[in-house]
Parts: sequence; structure tokens; C-alpha cells
Amino acid sequence: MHKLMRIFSTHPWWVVFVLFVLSLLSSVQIGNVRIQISAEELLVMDDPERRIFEEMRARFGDDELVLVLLQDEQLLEKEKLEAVKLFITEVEALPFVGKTESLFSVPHLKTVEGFLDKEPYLASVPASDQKARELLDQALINPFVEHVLLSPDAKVMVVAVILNEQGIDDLSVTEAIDGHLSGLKSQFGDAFAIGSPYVRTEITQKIRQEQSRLFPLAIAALLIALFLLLRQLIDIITPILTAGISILWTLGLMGLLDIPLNIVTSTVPILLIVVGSTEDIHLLSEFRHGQKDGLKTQQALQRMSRKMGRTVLLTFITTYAGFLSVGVSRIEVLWQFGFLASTGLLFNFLVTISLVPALLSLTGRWRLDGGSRLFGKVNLTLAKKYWIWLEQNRKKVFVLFGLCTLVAVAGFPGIHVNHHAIDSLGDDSRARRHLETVNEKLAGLESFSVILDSGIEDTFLKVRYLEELREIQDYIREAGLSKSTTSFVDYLALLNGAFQELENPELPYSDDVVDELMLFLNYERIRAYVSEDYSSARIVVRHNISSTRQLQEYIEDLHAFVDSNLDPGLDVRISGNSVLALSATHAMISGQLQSILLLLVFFVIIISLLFMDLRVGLLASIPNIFPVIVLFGVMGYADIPLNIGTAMAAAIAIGIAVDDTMHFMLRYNQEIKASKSQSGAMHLTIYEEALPVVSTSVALIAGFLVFALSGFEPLAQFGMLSALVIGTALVADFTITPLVISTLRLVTLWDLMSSRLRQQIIPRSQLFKGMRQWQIRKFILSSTVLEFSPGETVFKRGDESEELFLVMEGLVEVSIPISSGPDKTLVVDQFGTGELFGDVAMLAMERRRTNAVAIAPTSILVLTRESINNTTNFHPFIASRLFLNLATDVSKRWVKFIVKLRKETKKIDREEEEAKDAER
Amino acid sequence: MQSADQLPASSCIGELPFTGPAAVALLFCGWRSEGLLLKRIGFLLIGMIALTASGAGMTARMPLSFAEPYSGKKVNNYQVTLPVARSEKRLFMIPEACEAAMSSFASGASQWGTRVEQRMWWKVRGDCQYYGFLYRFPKMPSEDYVSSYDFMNAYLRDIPMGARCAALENPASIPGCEPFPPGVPDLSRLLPFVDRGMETPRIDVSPCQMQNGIFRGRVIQDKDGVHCEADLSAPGFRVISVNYADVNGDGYLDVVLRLIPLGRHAGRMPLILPLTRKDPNGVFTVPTGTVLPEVPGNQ
Repeated sequence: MHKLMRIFSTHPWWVVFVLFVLSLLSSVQIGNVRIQISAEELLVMDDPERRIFEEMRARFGDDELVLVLLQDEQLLEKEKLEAVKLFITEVEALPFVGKTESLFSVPHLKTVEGFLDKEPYLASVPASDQKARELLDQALINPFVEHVLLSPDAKVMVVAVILNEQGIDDLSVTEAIDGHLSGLKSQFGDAFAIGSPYVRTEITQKIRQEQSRLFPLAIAALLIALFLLLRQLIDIITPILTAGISILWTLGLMGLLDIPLNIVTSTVPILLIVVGSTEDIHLLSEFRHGQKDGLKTQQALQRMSRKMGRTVLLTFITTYAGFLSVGVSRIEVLWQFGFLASTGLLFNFLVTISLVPALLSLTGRWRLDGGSRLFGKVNLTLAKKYWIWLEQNRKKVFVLFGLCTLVAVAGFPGIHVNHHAIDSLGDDSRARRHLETVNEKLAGLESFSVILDSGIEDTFLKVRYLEELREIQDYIREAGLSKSTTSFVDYLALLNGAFQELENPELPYSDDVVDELMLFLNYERIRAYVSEDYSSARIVVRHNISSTRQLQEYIEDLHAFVDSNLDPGLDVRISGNSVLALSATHAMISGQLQSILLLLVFFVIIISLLFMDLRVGLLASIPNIFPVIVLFGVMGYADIPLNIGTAMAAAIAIGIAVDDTMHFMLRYNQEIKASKSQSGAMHLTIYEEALPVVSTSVALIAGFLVFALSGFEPLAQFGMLSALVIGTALVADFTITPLVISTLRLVTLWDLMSSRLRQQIIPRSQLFKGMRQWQIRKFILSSTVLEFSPGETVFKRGDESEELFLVMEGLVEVSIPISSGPDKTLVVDQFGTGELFGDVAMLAMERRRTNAVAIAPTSILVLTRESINNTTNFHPFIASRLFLNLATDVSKRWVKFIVKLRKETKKIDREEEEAKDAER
Repeated sequence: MQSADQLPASSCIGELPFTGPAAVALLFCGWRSEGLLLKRIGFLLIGMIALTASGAGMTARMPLSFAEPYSGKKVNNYQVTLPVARSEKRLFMIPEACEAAMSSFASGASQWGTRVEQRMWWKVRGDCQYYGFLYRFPKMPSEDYVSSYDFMNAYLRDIPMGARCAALENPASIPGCEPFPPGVPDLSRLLPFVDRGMETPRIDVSPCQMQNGIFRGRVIQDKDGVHCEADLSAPGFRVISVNYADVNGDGYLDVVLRLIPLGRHAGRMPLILPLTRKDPNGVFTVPTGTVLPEVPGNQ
């Protein structure tokens, strides 16, 4: 990554050229991007329930319809009815209209002169108010009319416009119907049309409005945040530019793959603006740090590439995983979003790592301002003070976070699910208001079906099985689940009632009568309710239940009733849009949990691999689990439902939030190697990361809050919750993260991998002699590697003896200060690659009596007393080998020392003898 | 399913008898047939000849009323497509093509098709039998003592009540309790029967009368004999058609009532009740020697 970024920074014009060409190619495809809203996109892909639903539609038909609702105190006045009749004639002439159903078309089954009369209720205009009242009363006896085409108070009448399958263009449908409807508005107290085409049209229009409204707002929010935090023109423009290019490419991909813009995918461009800027900020921040330290452009770029290359790669991977994990969901629209957003992020990453070095290479020296203002005063001392305060209040901080977690967890039971397409629209939505009116005055626009199948021809021409249908309908009505259920039984009862001239519809008492009635029944009238061979039948249950939980309970209850009360020979299934929505709800919840878990596991694995310790991964996940808990707690308390928008919030926000933790940990790892002190490394980390982490978080919060202005409720909630998660993660990153990682000694995998010397030296060292590879690795992971320059002190006389040292590369000289002069020392020994020193004082538990100084660039592995004690406690076999090796090494050095001492003694003896000889 | 419009013209000749409506149908067929103008003219000529022939020496046939399949509405004729073999269906115009339909029925066509289609065969058979029953004797009757009576608002006392009187010691001696010939429906069976015993005081002796072809009520047996009591909430029957013909060829015009039972447990197949009288003030009786078609419920 480092080398790649260096190449980009040295060939800036090539980068600009390639990006320009690719952008040009992408822009060609943008024209193919279309807006498409469909209920199917909110459903689960490859759902077995969907197969059942499709079978049901094929068998019974399921046409799309628009309800024209007419409300008035006097519905059946002559002028009004004539206007409605004219409207129906005009609407039926429209090419996309199959037919209409209303009191003008629904047969009023009755006997006239002994023969069946199927003339519609409003075949003629009632001659008087009394006749009108009688007619409405008769119509309300008909279950196909009551709550469906006429409200029980007879003040709301409906004309159901049934649309053709082919060539339905929502906008054309709504405009044409509304055009003809305008004539009725003056006649009735209220007159409007509602149905899926209206909901889709409103959503499409809103998407267009949102794109033109929120997109500039997102850019403005990002610009303001960047301006306040960075105050560098190039730094402000660069994130916008990289995001712009990646949006262009993403839209090009959508056009190429024919992925439409819908409620969810329409957020991708804005998200790319918001999320895509974070890596740019980190890179730019590092570059400006370098410049601030006096480095020239290319040097600062080199430092930026070296320090941030792998960090940017890793944080991209986690964010990418966050977005991709949304695609785990089996809901089509979420899958599309996951794929698009993650690919968009990949584009953004590629553009960022190429364009940022290239741009900075060209313009980096244009420092149009003195640097960031907001954090200009945040100096090292302040960071140090903050860290000291944090360390001192460690327990209080953990207790506070623990309490917050408990309070949030207590809110979990309040979480509920809502997966209604109509809820995408805000309270001010016209379609939503109209739908609520339909739900209030009539049986509702939602429905599901109970399908009974015997697999035997003519089953539902037998009274016994018709009574089974009736039993289910009675149960549904008594349970209060629906105001309107209709089935073949209802039609047969109406027919029977008409034939027998009964006051109310009544089911025939014998199969024989059913057979007779069937002679006068047009199958087309009942094909929505019974199969042509009468082996299966359908009950249509219309409802206005908006609560997913309540609907779930009702359907489970219905399943239980059917299982325990119906003929076991009948296969009973419940299907329909509502059931599919429930299935999608389950998929959404499991997808949400899977996404979060997958992401956290992924993060733990990456961090664990990176630092070769599972504990590090687990501890590092704490600051990121906390925001998730807070998110769900807030959802529970604030009555924010789990919906298509909020389901994405946790996974996406966590995918972004872990980046900061990653930045923090990698920075800390770099600092601890350089500073040799945990505390020093920590306040340096806080100092270095404050600007980029706060900048990116503020920019993200501002960006996500833009979504809060959306007219789509789930998106507005998504924006607010994502901002909440980012904000909470920011707080956690500056409190929990430092406290957690300060308890760990971090040796990254790169530290181990990049030094081949250590791979060769360590196994040959006396300290690790006889140990297996994994035992050595285990031991090393509890140590720290420190770098020393020539002349730099490793320890000095009087220091606490808490560590022993293994020279991995370089040379260290150990000497004893002598009393003859302050700078005079006696060199005890020199320790080269693979040699151990400092162990005697540590084992003797005495203060250092010698000084140890690096006399060449030296890399030393530091083993603390604590890690040795841990090894003794937890890995006795490793410890026994270690102590044997230590004893051998000390003994060897002791022998060497005695030999040396003997030589020195002989030398002194010889010198004394020579001195005596000289005197003599 | 084959519609009338799609029928080959040759099928018109094969199925239609030389009756008035059939002649009209032939004219229609000729007009709608495909092919050369000459062919069309040929059909029109045949139709006109048939129309002329149908009026000569025949009874002036008044249009009959049928319940049209599937719609149930009142029609004078109807088209119905019925299976005649495992995978063959034919369109019949009833009553014109009754002969062909009955021939198919006799050859076992009613075993094919769905349950509803099989049932439809029985309706066609019933309609055709009724048609045949009415016009068995084409000669115009010379005596008419029935057509002046308003059967849609008939008094039940004028109509024989049949075997409900079987419980009496000597039913044949009591007016209205004469036994019916086989196959003639007993209307009293369509009404609830109340046995109040001989001691029960008479409650209402007012005569029961049909209102626009409907009567709902109950049959009461008490010391005054058998009479009835009207009750709109009770089961009953409805006269769906009143046709006149000489059904037994005795030269007296007869009336044929088609009735359907009313009430929760009633069937829908129309019952046929032929009545006649031989003087203007006489009581109505079932014409002697009447051979009624086999209609379920007529017994």
C-alpha cells in the first residue's frame, strides 16, 4: 500500500488522466439509471413464502387496483351518482384499466318473478331517499360490499379500479385517474384515489426531491465541517472530489447492471459523500502533520504513505465489511444497497489512495491557510493532562459506561418492528393520509389470504368443506382481526339467499343444493376465491393492522386455530402481501443481527490477527459494542421501530466507527515503539488522533444528520441513529479505547513479519533454546520491541530492575560507573545479536548496578517480570525451559566473567610483578 | 369454449327443429355464417321457409321462460356448451336444439365433464322435457276454461293439495284430498304441516292466496279439515311460469304451473303442476292421463 501510494504521488498526471477516462466511461452509463419503486423489493429473495404467494396469484389472480374513495353525507343523490357513473365510464375507457368494481357493477343478487336477478345495486338511480336508504342497507348485507365498497355508516363509497397487467406506468395511471376524478371533487365532501401506484408515485417524486435537496445539503454539511476543522482549501475540496468521482462510478455501475434507484439505494450517493470523506481526512491530516514538522511535500507524502497506508487499507476493509454486511439480508432492496454501497466505497478507496497523493503531490505546497483552527490549540500538554485525568478516573469511567450500558439494555424490550412500505412516507404524506382514511372507514388496503387445498376435485362443492371455510371466517371475525373476510362461501350464501328469497345470505344445507346453485354461478365472478376444479379455496382477509407485531400474533393465532380445528386432510396456508412483509421482517431482524455479529467478529479477527492476540481483538470490540447497545436502547425508549432504514444503521455505523478504533490502536502501536513509555505513547496517540478522529466523526455526524431531514421516515431515523452511533463511538474511542488498550502491550503482526532477523535470531538465542516455535511466539507476544539509537540509554544505575533484554539487532555496552570520575566507567561486557542482558538484577530483584547504552542502532526485545510470572503461572512447561535457559545463560556468563576476571587478575598480578621488578 | 359466433353454419341445420324460434335462429346463423354471399343467401332462404312452415297447422306456441345457465336470468331460450365426449364439447341452443341435446344425453353425454357440467346436463334435460311436455299435442284445443283464471294470485283452495290428507280416514271424500297421479307434485309437501287434532278450535278459516305467484305459510289439519295459514316467514313456493297447452290431448286447454320451493331447505329444480277444468266454475284438477316428465321433486 505504501509503495502504491508512493507511485501515485510520483506520477500524479497519470492518475488524473486514468481517473478522468474512467469517469468519462461511467458517465455514459448514467443515463440508464432509472427510478423504480416496487413492493417486491422490500420482500425476501428466494423466500418459500413468496413461491406460495406466486402460486396463489397464478391460481386465483391478484390484480393491482386503485381505490377511488368518495365521502359524503348523501352518497346516492342523483347528480352525484350521475357524476360517478360518468367517471366510471371515462376510467373504464382508459387503456390500462381492466374493469371497475363498485355499486354500479357488483350484482345485487335477488329473485325477480322467480328468476335470478344479478343487476348491480346501482343499475338505476334510487327514486327517493327512502329507496336509497333501503338500497344501501341491502348492499351492506353483502360481504363483498360492506367495508369493501361501502362503509358501514354508508357515507363512504368506493370505486375499485382494477388495472391491466401490461404497460402500467404509475405516473400515467395516477395522472389519468386524478384528471377524471377532478370532476367528482366538487360533488362529494371528499374524493381521492389511493393504491400502490399512488404510493409508488409519491415515493418516486420524493426520491427525486430528496436527491435534489439532500445531496447539496450533505455536501454543504461536509464542507462546513471540513472548513471548521481543517481550514485548507485543498483539504476541503479533495474529499468532495474523491466522493464525487466514486459517486459517478457507482451510478455508472447502477446503469450498467440495471440496479434501480429506490428508497434505499438512493441514499448511496449521499452516504458516499459522508463516509467516503473519512479516509481523505486521515491522509490529509497526516500530510499536514508532516508539513507542520517541517517536511517538504514529497517527504510529507512519504510519511503519509508509510504511516497511513496500511491503516487506510484496514479501515477501508472494516467499513467495506460494514456496508457489505447489510447485503447479508435476504431482502432485495438491502442486498442491492449492500452491494452498491460497498462497491461505491471500494471505488472511493481506490480514488482516495490514488487521487489524494497525486493531488497533494501537485498542490501540497499551496498552503492557503495556517492549518486547522479548531484543534490548533490542542497541544501535547493538553492531551497529556487529559490522559492523566482519564487514568486517574479509570474506575469511575468504567462504572459510568457500565451504568449507561445497563440503562440502554433496559430499553431493549421496547424495540418493535415495522416493515410497512407506506411508513417510508412521512406524516405529511398525502398517500399516507388517504391510506389511513381507507383503514379507518373501510376494511383497509392490506390483505392476506388463507388457502385451503384438498388436492381433490370438487371438494369445495361439498357443504362439509364449505363449513370449514365458514368456520375460519367466523374465527377471524370473532378475533377482531378483520372487518372483512370474503370467500366462495359468501358468494354461495348470497346466491342461496337470493334463490330461497331469504332475508339474509345463508349457506346451502346440502351438496345437492350447492350443485343446483352452481348452475347459476358464473365462475369468473368467483375465480378469486376458488380454483376451477374446486379443489382449493381462498379466504381474502382485509385488514388495517399497521403493527407488525400485532399482525404476527394474529397470524400465529390463526395458524394455531387452523391446526387444531380443521380437517387434517386440508392443507391450509396463509399467504399474501402481509405475510410476505412479515417474512421480510423476520429476515430483516435476523439480517440485522447477522450483520452486526458478522462485522464485530470480522473486526475481532482482524485486530486479533493484527496484534496476534485474541484478547486484544475482544477488548478492542468493547468501544464498538457500546454504541450498538446505546443504539438499541434509544430505539426502545424513543419508540423508533426496526424498519428498512434503521435496520441498516447499526451495521453501517459500526462499520464506520471501528475505523477510529483501528486508527487509534495502530497509532498507539507506532507511538509505543517510538516512545518506549505506555503513558507517553497514549497521550501522543490522543494528540495525533484527536484532529482526524474528531474531524471525521463530526463530518460523519453532520452528514448523517442530513438524512434526518429526509421525508422518508425510515431514512430520517437511519440518519439520526447513525449520527448517534458515530457520536457514541467517538466518546467511547476517547475514553474506553485508551483505557482498554493501555492495559495491553501491542505487538503487531507486522512487527513480527517485517523483521526477518527476529525470525532467524530468536530461535537461535540461548533464552529460547529447546523451545518449540509456538512456545517462542507465545512468549514473544507478551513482550515489547524497543528501538534505540547509538548512545541512547537502555537503563542506568539505580533504575528498577523489572525487565530483561534480548538484543535482536545492534550492540549494547554494559558498564559500571567507577568512583574515580563522574564520566569514568568500567565496561563489564558488550552484548550483540541474540544475547541476553539485564537478567541478573531482575532475578535478584535489585536495582540496576550498571548502565546499559546502545552503541549502534539497536532493536531490543523487552521481557517484563510480569510476563515471566504469567508464563510461570499459566505455561509451566515453557517457564521451566525458560528458567533452565536463563540459568544456563547466567552460568555461561558467570564462567565467562570468571575467566575474564582470572585474566584480569593475572594481568594485575603480572603488572604488579613488573612494577616490583622495576622497583628492584 | 365455443361461442355461438364461432359455430360452423352446418351445425345450425343439424340441431334446430322447424319451429318458429328455430327459424329465427337459422336466419341468424345464415347472417353470421362465414363464406360466400351465396351461402349466406341460402341460409336466409331456408330460414324464411322454416319460419313460414312453423306457423301452419301448429299450436300457437307462446314463448317459454327458462333460467339461463350461469346468469340465472329469465330467458326464452339459451345457449349452453356441454361435453359430449371426453374431450369434445358442443354448443346447444335450448329449447330449439332439444332433440339433439336429448339424443346426446341418451347416449351418455352427461357422464363427461365436471360436476357442474354434469349437473347442467340434467337442467337441459329438464328444460327440454318440459318443452316436450307442453307441445306434445300440437293441435289447438277447442275448449278453454283455464286461461281466464289468475294463477299468479290463485287461492290455494282452488289448487289440489294432494296427499297431505293421507292421514285422514277417507281422504278421497274430502275436497282437496284426492290422490294425485304419479309424478304430480304435492304442493302441501312444500309447506309445514301442523296437526292440531280434531279438538283444536279453528283459528283462521280465511282462504290462503298466492301473492304475485308466491305463497308462504303452513298446512293445518283440524276439525274443519285441511286448510292453510299464510305466514311470510314460513317456507312456501313460487310460481315461476304459467303456460297453457293441451297436455293430454283431450281438446281442453290446460294450464301448466312451474313452481320452485322456497325456504331454507328447498331445492331449486322447478316442479311441474298441470291443471285443468272442464267448466268455468269447476275446481282445478290434474288432467287425466297426464304423463309428466321425470322432474326431481315431482312425485
